[in-house]
Order: sequence, then structure tokens, then C-alpha cells
Amino acid sequence: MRKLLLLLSIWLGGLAVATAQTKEVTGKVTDNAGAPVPYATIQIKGSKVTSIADADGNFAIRAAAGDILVITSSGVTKREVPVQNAVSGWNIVVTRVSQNLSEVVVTTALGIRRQARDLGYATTQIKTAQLNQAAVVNPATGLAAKVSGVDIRLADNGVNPQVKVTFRGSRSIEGDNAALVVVDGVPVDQTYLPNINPADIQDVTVLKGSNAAALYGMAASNGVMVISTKKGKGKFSLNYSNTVSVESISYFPPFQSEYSGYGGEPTGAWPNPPGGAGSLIYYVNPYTGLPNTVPFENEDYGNAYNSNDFRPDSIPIGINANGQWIFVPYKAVPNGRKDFFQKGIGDQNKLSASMANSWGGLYISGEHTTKQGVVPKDTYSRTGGRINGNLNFGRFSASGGVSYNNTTTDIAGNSYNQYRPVYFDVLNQLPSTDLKSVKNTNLFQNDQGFVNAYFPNPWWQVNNSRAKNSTNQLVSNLQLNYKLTGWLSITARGGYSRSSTSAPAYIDSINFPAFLANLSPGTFQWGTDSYNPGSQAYESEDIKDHYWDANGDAFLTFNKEVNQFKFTVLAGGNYRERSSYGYWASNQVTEGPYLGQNFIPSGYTKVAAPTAANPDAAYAIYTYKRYDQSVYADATVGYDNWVFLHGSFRNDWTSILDPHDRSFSYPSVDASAVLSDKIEALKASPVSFLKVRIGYAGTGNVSLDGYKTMGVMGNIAAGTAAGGFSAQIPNYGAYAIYPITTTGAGFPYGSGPTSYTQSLTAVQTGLKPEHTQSLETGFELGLFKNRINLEATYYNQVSNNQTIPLQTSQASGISTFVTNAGKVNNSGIELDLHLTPLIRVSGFRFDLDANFAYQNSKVINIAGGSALLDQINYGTTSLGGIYAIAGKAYPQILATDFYRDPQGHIIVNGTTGLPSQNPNPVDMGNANYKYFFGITPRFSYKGVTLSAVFDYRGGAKILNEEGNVFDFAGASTSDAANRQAFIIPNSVINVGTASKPSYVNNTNVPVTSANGGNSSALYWWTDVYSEIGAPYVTSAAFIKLREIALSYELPKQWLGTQPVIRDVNVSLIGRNLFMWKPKTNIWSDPEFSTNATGNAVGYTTEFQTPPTRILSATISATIF
Amino acid sequence: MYIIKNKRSLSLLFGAVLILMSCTKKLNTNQVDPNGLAISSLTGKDVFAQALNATVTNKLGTNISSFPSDNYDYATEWMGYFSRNSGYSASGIGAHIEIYALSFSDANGNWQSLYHNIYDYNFVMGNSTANSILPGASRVMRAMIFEDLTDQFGNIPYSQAAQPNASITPAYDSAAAIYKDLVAQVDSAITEISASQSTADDASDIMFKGSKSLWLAFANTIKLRLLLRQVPNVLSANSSYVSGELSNVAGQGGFLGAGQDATINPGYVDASEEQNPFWGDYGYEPGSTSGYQNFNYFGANSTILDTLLATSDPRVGFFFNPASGNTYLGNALGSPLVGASQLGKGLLQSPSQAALLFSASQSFFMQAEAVQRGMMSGNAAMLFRQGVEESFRYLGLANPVSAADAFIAGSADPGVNLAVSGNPISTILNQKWVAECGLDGLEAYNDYRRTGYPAIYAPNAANVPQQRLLYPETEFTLNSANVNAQNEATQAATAIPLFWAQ
Repeated sequence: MRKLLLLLSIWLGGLAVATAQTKEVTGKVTDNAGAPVPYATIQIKGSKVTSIADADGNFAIRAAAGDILVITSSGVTKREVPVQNAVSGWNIVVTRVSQNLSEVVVTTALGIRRQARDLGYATTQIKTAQLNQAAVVNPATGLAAKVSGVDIRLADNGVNPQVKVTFRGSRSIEGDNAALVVVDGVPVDQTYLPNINPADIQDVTVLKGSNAAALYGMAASNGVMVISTKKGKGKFSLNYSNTVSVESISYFPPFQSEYSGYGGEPTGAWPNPPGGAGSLIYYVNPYTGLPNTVPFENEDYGNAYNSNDFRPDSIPIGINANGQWIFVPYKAVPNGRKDFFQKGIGDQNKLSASMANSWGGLYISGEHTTKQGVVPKDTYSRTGGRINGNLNFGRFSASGGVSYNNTTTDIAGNSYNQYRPVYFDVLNQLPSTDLKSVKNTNLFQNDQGFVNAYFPNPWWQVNNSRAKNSTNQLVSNLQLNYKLTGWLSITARGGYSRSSTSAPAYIDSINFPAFLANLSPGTFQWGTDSYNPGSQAYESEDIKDHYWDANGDAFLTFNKEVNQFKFTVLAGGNYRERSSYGYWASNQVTEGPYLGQNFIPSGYTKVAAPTAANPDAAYAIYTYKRYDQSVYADATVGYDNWVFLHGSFRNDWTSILDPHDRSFSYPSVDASAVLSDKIEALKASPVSFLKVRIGYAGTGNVSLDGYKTMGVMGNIAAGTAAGGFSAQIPNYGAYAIYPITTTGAGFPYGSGPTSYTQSLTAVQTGLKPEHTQSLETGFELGLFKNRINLEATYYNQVSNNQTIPLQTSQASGISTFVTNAGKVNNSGIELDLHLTPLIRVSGFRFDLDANFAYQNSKVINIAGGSALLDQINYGTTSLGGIYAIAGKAYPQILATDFYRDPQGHIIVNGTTGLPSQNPNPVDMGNANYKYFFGITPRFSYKGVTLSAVFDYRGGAKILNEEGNVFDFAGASTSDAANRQAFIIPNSVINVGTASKPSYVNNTNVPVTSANGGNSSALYWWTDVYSEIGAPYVTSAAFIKLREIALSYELPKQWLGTQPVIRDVNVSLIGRNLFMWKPKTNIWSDPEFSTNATGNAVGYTTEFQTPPTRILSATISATIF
Repeated sequence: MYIIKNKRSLSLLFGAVLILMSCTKKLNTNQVDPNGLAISSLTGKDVFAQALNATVTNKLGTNISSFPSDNYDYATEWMGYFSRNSGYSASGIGAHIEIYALSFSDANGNWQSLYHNIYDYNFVMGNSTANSILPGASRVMRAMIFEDLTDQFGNIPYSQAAQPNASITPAYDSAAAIYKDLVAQVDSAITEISASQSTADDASDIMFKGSKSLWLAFANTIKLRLLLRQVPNVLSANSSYVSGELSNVAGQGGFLGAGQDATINPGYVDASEEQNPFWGDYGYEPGSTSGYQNFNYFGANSTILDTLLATSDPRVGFFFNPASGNTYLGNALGSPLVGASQLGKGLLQSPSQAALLFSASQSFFMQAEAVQRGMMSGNAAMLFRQGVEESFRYLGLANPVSAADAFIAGSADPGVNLAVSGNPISTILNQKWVAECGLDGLEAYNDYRRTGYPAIYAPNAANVPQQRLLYPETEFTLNSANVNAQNEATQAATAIPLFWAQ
């Protein structure tokens, strides 16, 4: 790669010398604001000699003194300029006229800037102001609800949440459906997106369809997000901005506050004080047979707080350092659990400098952002800088940039044993627990700090279980351009990015007080090893990964007008090399008495390979490489500036497929016509602009597993999905077609030979890429002098040859066979409406943008119609799972349920009143949203601007798994409802036979319990209800007020005549202030998704923190 | 045109494209994962040792201490060798064994591990030096495992099995046809082994170290097992097929003889996960005398213990340790009333002992039965005696030959002494059963279903061993059309006898 760049630069240098002798006029066309006018036509008056300016307005034309240059371009007034002498660096200023939608210049594939008017496919551009209006930290979140067909899905509200960006639904059953991210012409790993300083972004162009993106080849079947960062412009200026934000919990599910702790303890007694000679407290009241309060429980099935069965004054929660008992009042504490969460303070400081002259420009920026989470001690920080430069030197121009950032998150890790997150452990405390009062865990004598025999005090967890991620990323690009003639130029571009991550995590060891272990031998045992109650060993893990990506393009661009035809042709090649290296080491002590005491390192400690002293350590290293190369060509022919025909072709070769199958091509063709320019009748009507377009494209997707999973401790900070149990490093699908053997169990034995066994996975010989055929058609309509603009698009995509790891009969010798099978159809409608302005009355202006999308992904078949393999599971819990099912929308939620009659009533046993579980999971609906509706109103009056973003999503279901956690623990309000023996509402009893059922309403058979007495609530919720998923599936619909921003530009006269401060802007911003959702969904934010990066969207868990809102204030000033 | 002047630039551009294309080499360097070895970089010798070790581990247990983890554990319990000890409760497969009702899911592991093992032997056969011993040896091993599969499940995927590129949903073949082909497979293996030469690949043979004569003897013994299994219920002892197949055994290396146990040892040592698999399952943790869970979980079954005590069998102290006060205690299956005798020094010899795949004792007992039934000529009484002698030797009794001879001669029990027995087949199979205690429950289970010997279950008893295992649950979800063609989708199918059974 480096050699190639060197050669290219030598070659370009040589050309510069060779052609410098020719006399020519070179210059730049700009508008009156100084912005370049791309693709202006420069013609010598009275001759056929023409030249077309490039994307940056630069042109070169052979002309003699005295010739007159005629400059024309859409959206500007025609200008004629006489040539005095042959000059260079000439700046020709033209005047802009009011623009309509299609005269916007957008960045298309390969970073080529084109007029939207010429394009036969939909593109949308988001400018920096729209992106940054709510002072987002993660640029992807600033896009939400602003563009039709773009689904931005936030995994959770942690300090550094994962964001999944998909365009136009899902195409691949097992492969990646996330859009390709391209920064300044160079593809980068998706993990780079959240770490870009949003203030550095000039604009984001969304190439939603494969028609737009086909030129990117295999990576582009999911669309492309083209990010252009800022370049220097105008005279030297500095900009500084500061944003301070406060994040707080906006929604917390309702808790019951009536009942105290009890979890089915036997009739035994608990000595009070423990180990002492005091009176005995019975788990179950020996006189009434009813449960008493058990203070060390996590389940709330005990006595009502308003009863007197337990000591009314206080209950013990632990022993202090002096051996005295700590008591708390015997009553529920309002918000005792919710108030564990804090207000998270954020601070963003950004400084940038920009300047440009006719030689070039320079943009330099730096930022430092810090954030606290709503979980105490969770922190995030990002420090980064960027330098972008561009240089114009006659026919030669160069631009490039380098950015670097460090992003560090440090968050509470999971708890011991079950690797539960903080939220789970908050939920599992008793209603009488005021978590704020037990913040100082040092008060307690024991390490655990709180008496709960099952789950730790969350304060212990935030202090003693930590997970960290520190990522350094460097992204750089360099582009060299040389104009061979007025109409032919050559471009070479190189990109290099690298990322390195260190993600250590640890959970401290614990020695539980003996009294806990001895409460009831055999009942309350600690640790994973049932023979060692009383101790929990130290665990730690370290994950490191590095990856880098080098990418080079070289292409020729040809722009020429011949008579009424305008030709734009591009042809070139690409080479890309990616590599990753990952390292994982873990130190888990799981056996042996008190082994945890042998080494109690403090904090994050490196872990080495296993040693004799520490045989429980584990250690692994992975390394991956992938090479790709391509050739491509792209041509547009315009006729009379109103009909355009465009086609592109790309051929890719990739190292990850077999030599016979590694070459594949992507053709695309589209056409558009600006009817309003040609149809005379329209000119008299309100229609000011009308364009129709249609296109076809074929793209591919090599969807071999793209990540290697490392780690076991569920280090959420390590960079994967919340609730995941590991970190992932990119493997780019490398080596997947030749599964490696594993060393035979136990080999080598002693000093014996090593020997291997074949993989349980085999791959079909001649595996091919997935192939997507996409058809897209639409129109763009401007009314009333383009004050109303409407864009509409319909698309239909069919993806064949899905790459699927089929489960095989074990008699085939293996368990998984990776093969081409399956077909997905994905179609939809997108509408974008712009009212600019809707109202303009004496300084008051109201603009409104609205967008709507309908999208439907459907699995046509999986294994060629074979019934036994028509269902792919993305992971199952006892409640249900997310599936791809032939004939159904993709993906689909299946959940466990009770047996029901045809009307949906729960069928119960006529004697016990209990229902039974249906072993076959029930189809509950699709998990991807089908309807998207965004409205972004904007008011302005003099210097004041008020803007907002409303977001509706609907047509999907969600499985709220955390609801089960509430119900199991007896913490939810639904639990409180059914404490006594009760009749299941709307239940029926079968009075017929099994084969000829006959159902009657159950009016008299209550749920009786195996536990006897009135403790049936415990039995019902923990033994019957907890395995059932259907009640936790709700509509995932929501409306959010995503952004609201009030900003005020200080009047210039306030700044006086001082030369330093040019303008000052202050703003107040709210993010996610309000969320409306159906009453049935009492649990969380339905946008959340446990698996943010994969395809298994549609379920939330306790691994996400509760929904939050953010309020912030920004001040920014431009200096000079 | 202007561009003509720039021919040089065009040629340079194409030059650049050529440079790009020259990177094609890199596209080729990326086929194999550096994180491990691709199968393409291995040959049969790199897999054979693992395959042998996996075969014996599947038979004897795994190196992970857990409750019933041995694929044939059900047979070990049903044949009255081991039973759950007091102080433990059975759950899952362990509980199903005790009620003689293994479910569909209980067979998943057994099925998967045996077929994956065959898949590895297929690789060795297809990727070894042609004249080495490995292809023939693998063919014998494969035949033995297919026989074990069909002896447990009946009809199984055979002709299409373990070839994922040909079929991921292999069809089932009839058990009788499989048996016929397996004998032919052993015959061709014998031809291959006879023609083989000593090569460097012999080093991977952790069973017979490349010995042609031992592999031939083992192949003949497996062939005898295949034929004997079909006698008397399918084949008559003196059929021309049987006599034809056995006619030139002597000329082709005979059967496994005295001292010729087929044992496998990849280099077991007393370290975690590196112990002999039987020891790792039922023995002690490395470097200690603290038993694994299975050591504590299992004790002597009263069926075998009562037999050993009633016949004053000197091997009792080698199979089991005295429970307390020098008395031996056993539990009936599923009724753990006492702290029963734990496994003894004859079974748990050492963590580094070679793992027993097939004993010389079994070879002699099979020959004795074959002679007794008239399948071949010989001295049944002598072969029977040698079977007992070899059992004594394996278990480590002092002066095994004289001790065994004295034990037989001194006994008036028809289950021990052929001379006083009115039913020689019963006596042979009874002593074969004793010799196989803890070492080969599956073979004893096969003999029991074929002949009714040893008669350890009362006629019409309520709880008797199943006639077969149910096909694994995974077949019903992943190969449903083929498995459903067998019409064995209910628990009642466990009562259908195999084609060679009584």
C-alpha cells in the first residue's frame, strides 16, 4: 500500500512538471458567500471549448487573452468574464439564486460531490447545524428521526451506549445489516462512529439504498453513511463552545411498597441477633402459618408492612465494625431503590480554528468531553483532536486530515456468581431498604456491606466490581488530485485508521460473615462451589484488541459537455487491507477453600497465562487479516440538463472466500428526468420542480461471522452489547470458510504427541456472497416556488443466497454447516416533506420538516423450503427468543405462554386453579419497527431559534425481559395485587375431554399453592408465572420528544466595536424530555435493545439502565 | 485530442492498476486461520491418536467429574455393576437410568460423540500414507463404533453418515444390512493391514504402536464379535457365511491372545484433564486421594457383589473396596440404603494406566462361546479358562493363571465351573459378565439382550433394561424426515428388540 502511494505521488509530481509549460487559465468559481460552486460549466464564448469545474469549484481551461468565459451552473446567475492574460488562482464570483431541493450538492459514493438534481436515487444530507442542535456526544444520536428510512436504535442509556444504524430495514438473516460508515472518502469500522466529535462534521449524506451505494461494492448493500468533516474556510477564526448537561432518570417502573421480605424459607428460626442468645424469629409464624419478614431476603413475599407480625420498630440489615447491629425502620421507603441512581453531569469543551485562502485551508479542532452516568461512579471521557488541510496549486490539489481520540469508560461491572448488572441488584433489595443510607459500605463489618443473602448491595458493586474500556483511535486520509485537462482529472486517495482497546474488569473477593453462611445450613450457601460457603473469590479479566484498516483508491474523472450532452465518467480501482489482533486473559478462581484470599490485587490488575499457582487463569490470542481489491466505473450522461442516465459497475475480489468464488460484481443503472424543466404546462402551475427517477442495483454482502467473541465476565464496557458476556474483536469474516481443528481433549498428555479433531462446523464448498437486487423509484416535487418540497421513494429489495449456519443432523459428524440458503424480501416507502418556510412574517419564521417511512422485511424461505430448518434462533431465554422464521416478518418474537382456549383465555386446572405451560413458544409479532414518523419544527424570530424533534415509531413488539425480574422478586405492583388466594382473571376450565374440549369461565377455583396457606403469591410468581414470556411482550410503539433546543444569538450591537469576539450564541437543550408509550408497557424504553450490534433486536433486559433525560446549556463564541 | 498527449499518464494509470492487481497474491495468502490448524494442513497421523483416545474416552467416561458422564453408564448400571450410593440423589439421566426409561434427549451426547469420532476416522482413512497401517486400522475402528451405534439404536445413518459435504441429513440404513457391510469392511481392513508397511505414521498409533500382527488380531476379534452377535438369533452357528468368514482367521493373525489387551495410552499423567479417562471419571483428583464426585456417587451394585461373594470370587477386592470393617456392601439400583463399597484397585489401578478398549479376556470368552456353539473348532473349556485367567491378570491378582485355575476348579457353582455346568453358554457368559465388571457394560448389555445371560433379571420383572435407546432428540428436530421413517417416535419404541436380540 505504501509503495503504491509513493509511486502515485512520484508519478503525479512528474506530470506536474510535464504539463506546467502549457498556457492555461485556472481558477475557482465561488458564490458571493465564498462557498465553491461545484460543476459550473465554463465555456469560451462563441466556441465549443468548455470545461467543467470540479466538486470544489476549481477549473482549468485553455484560453487566449481576450476570450470571454461564460460561467453557468444551476442555482447561480450566468456570468461572463473577459480573460485578460493567462492566469492562475483566479477567483470568479457568481451570484446564487434561491435553491430548490435538487440543487443541493451532495456527497455520493467515493466522496464525489454531485448535484442532487442529476441523481437517479434518493440521498439525504444532514448539515452540521441540524446534527448538533441538541449538543449530542454521539453523532449517530443526532440523526435520529431526521431522515426517512434511517433507523437509529440506541442500546441503552449507559455512559457510552451502542447505537445501531440501519437503513431501509434488514436484508441479511445472519449477516450484518448495519450501514457502512465512510469518513472523508475512507471506510472506517462502525465502532468509530460514536467517537467522532460531532462538531467536526460538516455534513452527513445518507445513501440509503444500494442504488446509491453500489459503487462501494460488497460493503454497501446496507447503504452508506458518508461523513464529511470540516475544512478550513474564510479568514482566520476561532470557535469555542462549552456544554454542561445533567442527565437524570426519566422513567422508573412502579414498585410495590406493601410487603416485606420472604422467599419461601422453611419453618425454621433465625436467631436474633444472629449467633447470639436473643429471641428467635421464625420464618413462618408458627401460630398462623403465614410467612414472617425475613430481612436477608431478595424476594418480597413476606408480611405486609402495616401488620404487626414482625417487630414493628426495626429490622436488622447488618453488623457495624464494632459488632453492633444496624437496624432500619420496618416500613417501605419511598424511592428507596430509585434514588440509588444519581444525576449525571456532563461537560463538553470544544475549540476549533479555521482559515482558508486561495492556496488552501486549514481546520484544527480539539475537544474534551466528560460524562457521569446515572449509575454512581460510571464515567466517560473523550479527548480528541483533528487537523484537516487542503492545498490548491494550479492543476494540483491535495486534501487530507488526521484525527485522534481517546475514549475511556469506567463503569460498574457485574456482580459475582451470576454476573448480574447494577440495575438487577437494585431491584432485588427490599422495599424497606433506603439504598442511600447504606452508601458507605465501610460502615459494615463484613465485606458485603448489606444483609441480602442473594445479591449484593449495589454500592458494594459500584465500589468493588469495575469494568473499563480505553480506546485510542486514529483516522487519517490523504487525497491528491491532478487536473490533466479541463475535463479530465486523476485522483489518488489513501486512508489509514487504527484502533486499540484495553478493557480490564475485576470483581473483588468477599468473605461473607459466618452468620450468613450458617443461617440455615444447606439453604444459604455462597459462591459457585457449594462446598465453600462463606467466600467468593477474586476474579479479573483483561481484554485487549488492536485493529487497523488501510484503504487506497485511484481513479480518473472525466467531465465533458458535447452539444447538449453532459458526460461524467469515473473509473478506478481500490485496495483495502484490514487486520486485527486480540488478546484475552482471565483469572477466575472457582475452586478451593478461600483461594480468593491468596491474592487480592487491588483494582485493575493484569492477568497472565495460567501458572501452577493459578491454574484457573485462561488466556487466548487471536489474529485476523483480510484483503480486498476492486475495479469500478461510473458514468452519467445528461441530455439537455433534464434527462440523466447513470450506471455503475464494480468488481470485487476478496480474500475471505475461496479463490473460485472470490470475484463478484455489482451493476447498477438508474435514470431521472426533471420534468418541470421541459413541460411547459407546469411552468404556469404551482409546480416549480418535478423530477422522477427509477433505478436498479445489484449488491452483495459476504456475511460470514464478522466478530470473534472474547471473555467470560460480561465486561459490558469492553464494547459489546449490554448483557453480552464478552467483548468482540472484528475478524472481518476472515478464515471462516476453513474452520480450524481443535486439539483433542487433554492433548498433549504429559509429554505425548499432540493430536487434533476436526471442527464441528463445516462450510459448503464454493460459498458465495449474499446477493441483493434492489429496485427503487420515486419523485421529487417542489410547489409554490419550492416553499413546499416533497420527496417520495418506493423500494423493493430481494436478497438471495443468504449465508446461514444450518444445524445438521449429528450423524453427519458435525453440528453446523455453513451454506447458501434463504431469501429475504425487504420493501418500503419513504416520504420527506420540507416546508421552508411555512410562515414568514416580519422577522418571524416557521419551518417544518417531516418524514415518514414504512418498511417491511420478510423472510421468504430459509433452507429452500425445508420445513425442519425454517427457523433461526438468535438466542433464547426461558421467556422466549428472537427468530428468523420463513414466511414471517424479520425478526420475529416467539415467547412461552400458558395453554389458552381459542379465544385466548388461560386454561386452568379445575381443581388447583393453576394454568400449565405450553411447551411450544407462541408467535408474538415482529421486532423491527414498521412505521417511522419524524417531525422537526423550527421557529425563529430575530436571534432566537426554537427547534424540536418528535419521533414516532410503531408496528413492532418487544419482549421486556426485565419485567420478569420485577415479578420474580415480588417487587412489582402486579405482585402486590395477588397476595391472597385468587382466581386467575379471564380463565377458563375445560369441562370436556382432551380431544373434545369445552370451556367454561372459571368463577370459583382459586389458585391454591403447593406452599400452603396464603403464601400462594410466592408460588404463583416464582414457580408458575416466571417461566412465561407472553405477558412481557408489549407493543414497542413510542412517541418521543427527542430534542428541543432554544438558542439565542447575541445581537451584534451588544458585542460593540471590539475586534475580538465576532458572535456569541447561548442555548438551552433538552434531550428525550418526554416519552409516551402504550400503558401496557410499564417497563422500559422500547427503543433499547439488548443486542445493539446484532440482528436480535426486540428485547430489553435489566442490563440496560432505566430511561433518562438530559438537560443541557451551551455557550459558543466565535473569535476574530 | 488533448488526452493523446498524455499517453504517458494513461500508461502510468494502467501501471497503477497493475500494481493493484499484483496484490492478488495477498488474496491467496489468507485462506488459513493463523489461530489454529486447518484440517488441510493435517494428515491422518495428526488426527489418529486423538481419534483413538476419543473412542476409549467415549467408552470409559470423560475426564470431567460429573454425574453419569460416561456414554455407556446406563449399561454399567443396568448390568448390575455400579449403583448410586447413599447420600446422593439422582436427577436427569441418572434418574432415568434407575427407572429404566431413558428419554430421547438422554442419547444426544452418545450419538454425537460417536458420529464425530467416525468423522475423524473417515479423515484418517482418506488422508494417510497409502501403505501405512492407519487406513486399515481406522476402518476397523470405524466398524467397531458403527457396531456400537447400531447395537444401541438399531437402524442408524450409515452409508450417508459422517460425510457432511454429501449430506447433512443422512438417511437411515437397516441394522441387518449395516452388520453385513461391517463384516465386509473388516475383511477389507484386514487386506489393507496385511499389505501395509511400517511408516513414520506408526508413532500416532497409541494402541498397537503400528504392530501389524496386533491390528490383524484386533480386526479378527471385532469380526468375531460381529458374527457372534448374530448367532443364534439371526445366523445359525454353522452357516457357510459364518464358517467362511472365520475359516482363514488363523492364517490372518488369529484373535487377541494372552496378554494382548487392546489399550490406548496417549501419555496419561496425574494432572488435571490428563488422567486416564476412567480414572478421571471415577477416580481421584490429581495428586490426592480425594475422590471425584463419581467416585463417591457410585458404589458396588448388589447384583455383581452378591455374585462375587456367593462364589467366593477372589476378584471382589479388586473390583471393590470393603465398605467398613472388611465387609462388602452393595446397593440395588435406585435403592441406595447403605454406604456401598467403592471402586477398587483392580479398576482404579493408576491415573496413568492405559485405557482399556477391548480386553484379551473378552477375546477368549468370545472364542469359547463360538467354539461351544460350533462356529469354529477349538477347546471351549481351555478358552473359557483363559478368559478367566486374563481377567485375573488384568485386575492385578498375584499368580493370575494358577489363582484363576484354582478358583474355577475349586468351585461347585455352575456359573463358575464349566465342568459342573449343565449350560456351558450360560457359564461362559456369566464369567464374561463378571470379567467385564466396570470395564465394558455395553458388551454385557448386548450379551444379555442376545442370550438372556447373565440371568440377572427375573422373568416378567417390572423393571428390566430397555431393548434399545431412543433416537436422540436432535434427530427429531434436525433430521426429522429420516428419523420419523423409523417409526420410533414414542417411548414405547424402547421395547422393540434389535434384529439380533432374543
